[in-house]
Amino acid sequence: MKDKSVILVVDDQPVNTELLEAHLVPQGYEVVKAASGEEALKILSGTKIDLVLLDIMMPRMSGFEVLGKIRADKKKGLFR
Amino acid sequence: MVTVLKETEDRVKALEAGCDDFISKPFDRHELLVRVKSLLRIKSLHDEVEEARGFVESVINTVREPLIVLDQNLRVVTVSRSFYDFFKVNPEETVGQLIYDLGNGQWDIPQLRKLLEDILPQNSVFHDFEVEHVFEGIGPKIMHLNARRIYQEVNHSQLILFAIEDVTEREFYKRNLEVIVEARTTELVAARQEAEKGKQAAEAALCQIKILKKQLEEEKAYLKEEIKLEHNHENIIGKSDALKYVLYKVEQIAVTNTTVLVLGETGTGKELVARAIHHGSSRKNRALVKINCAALPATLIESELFGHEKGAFTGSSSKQLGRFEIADGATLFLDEIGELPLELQAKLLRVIQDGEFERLGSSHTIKVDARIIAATNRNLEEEVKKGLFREDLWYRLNVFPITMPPLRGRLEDVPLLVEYYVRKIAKRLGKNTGVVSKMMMGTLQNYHWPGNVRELENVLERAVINSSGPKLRLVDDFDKPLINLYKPQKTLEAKTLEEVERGYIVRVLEQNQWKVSGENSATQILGLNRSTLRARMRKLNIQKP
Repeated sequence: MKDKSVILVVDDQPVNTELLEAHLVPQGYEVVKAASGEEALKILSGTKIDLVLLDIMMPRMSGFEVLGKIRADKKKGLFR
Repeated sequence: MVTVLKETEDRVKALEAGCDDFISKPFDRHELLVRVKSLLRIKSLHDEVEEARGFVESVINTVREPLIVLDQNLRVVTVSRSFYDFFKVNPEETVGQLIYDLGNGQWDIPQLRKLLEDILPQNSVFHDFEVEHVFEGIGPKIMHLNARRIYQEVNHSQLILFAIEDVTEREFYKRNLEVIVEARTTELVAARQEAEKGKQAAEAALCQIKILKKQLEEEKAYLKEEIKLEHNHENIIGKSDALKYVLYKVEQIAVTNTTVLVLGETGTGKELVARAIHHGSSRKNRALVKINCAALPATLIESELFGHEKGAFTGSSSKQLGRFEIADGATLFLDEIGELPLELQAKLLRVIQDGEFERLGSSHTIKVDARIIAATNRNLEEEVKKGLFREDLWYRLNVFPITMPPLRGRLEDVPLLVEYYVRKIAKRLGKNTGVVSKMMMGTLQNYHWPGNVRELENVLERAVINSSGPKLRLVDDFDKPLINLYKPQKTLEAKTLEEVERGYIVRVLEQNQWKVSGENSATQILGLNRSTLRARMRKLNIQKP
């Protein structure tokens, strides 16, 4: 089998990220957590991520903003 | 990507922003897992597609030939890197463009339109479609397009892949080669024609050489025989007016091509005159071909004069050239022309008139250019009167007659001739004889020389042989002429006709054992009948002893 799918979980509230992690890890996924949009983008630029679970309501940079940045970046490379 | 949302209104916004799916808080665990799973599946498929695309692209880019992929609307889907390099275009102005619009419309080539719009819809594959076009910046190109329609089965949209093979150099080389081959072919043809011409010329020359060689061989063979005959000298000795007149006439006629008739008694040197004429002519470098008409029987003379083909008559085992052919361009000396049989005179006349004749046994007419010099010791005019010589031939021959005077007509030349011959004969015989007494010369000069110079030569030869010292001793007695042909005959015994008749009949009877009648009898020989013979015998008193 190929490597485990890597899922990035982005939420400013640790309760949510932990909850998601708790759901996903038992299913065989690898979970990477980010507490802000900036952190998420930083991780995306350096790690191979298969799926991003992104919270919309976040301080400083909203989920929409992060989404926009990822999409703008997409032309260069992979679907995220 | 799952965007986690609290409010429903945000869902639309999120989808518009480009998210793939969403899930609302608080999460339903089951929903979350299903959505994650399906998204990951999509992602995985997408990765595979991308991987495939990457593979295709790398394949496309690996191929050295420029490749181009068009969609069904003839818009560029992708091109290979080599395409950019080859046609010097940018990806920005290529992908998504209508092919005809590429490079500022440079690709709007009628041939290409034909391929894409007429040919390809009928054929899914087309190879080596040749397109020749001059591109801005890269110059004239000859391309072979290998096009292929590719169906994408899902929605039946089609792609057109075509590979562009640049055959410019090859084609140019090929065309150049064709030009070179054509030029070389032309050269070769010309060379061959030249060679053919040369060959023909050489063959013609060879043929000419063969003819000349044959002629030379015949001439040589003839000359060898001629040498054997030990013919007389070219020089005509003498200073008499009669002889000077002859020499003057010889000089006068020599340079022309006129037929000459040399007359004169036997031994006067008619052949010398003929030679003098020949040597004074432009034909002097060729031989004087001689034939003695009296020396051979009629049939042989004909074959000698005109030649014969192989098998023309019994014993003619090979082809032989006649004297006329040998004498082509030279001089033919017909000695003793008066002895030529009547039937040959006609043939001779034709050669003299037209220069034409046929070999014996051949119907092929041969043309010759031979100067004729004829000689005879006969009085041809008399012969013509007697019907022994054709009048027309005589007229032809008698154009320019030269008469060699008899020696008795130029006795003043005798001393010169004697001196000449004695020296010549003595030299030949290895003797020192050379002194001729005045008295002896007088004797020689008083003789009438019926055999002319030839007789003189023979007399002198005998004399030289007979002489032991320097002094010449004559053998012959000139009081009694050697040849009394020209002297009056002895006076006949006086006999009556009866006496002669009786003597003759007796002789005939004796020869036939006195057989008067029947086979081999006297009557037969005498041409009398039996009774007449008996009557004559009685009258002449002839009785069997």
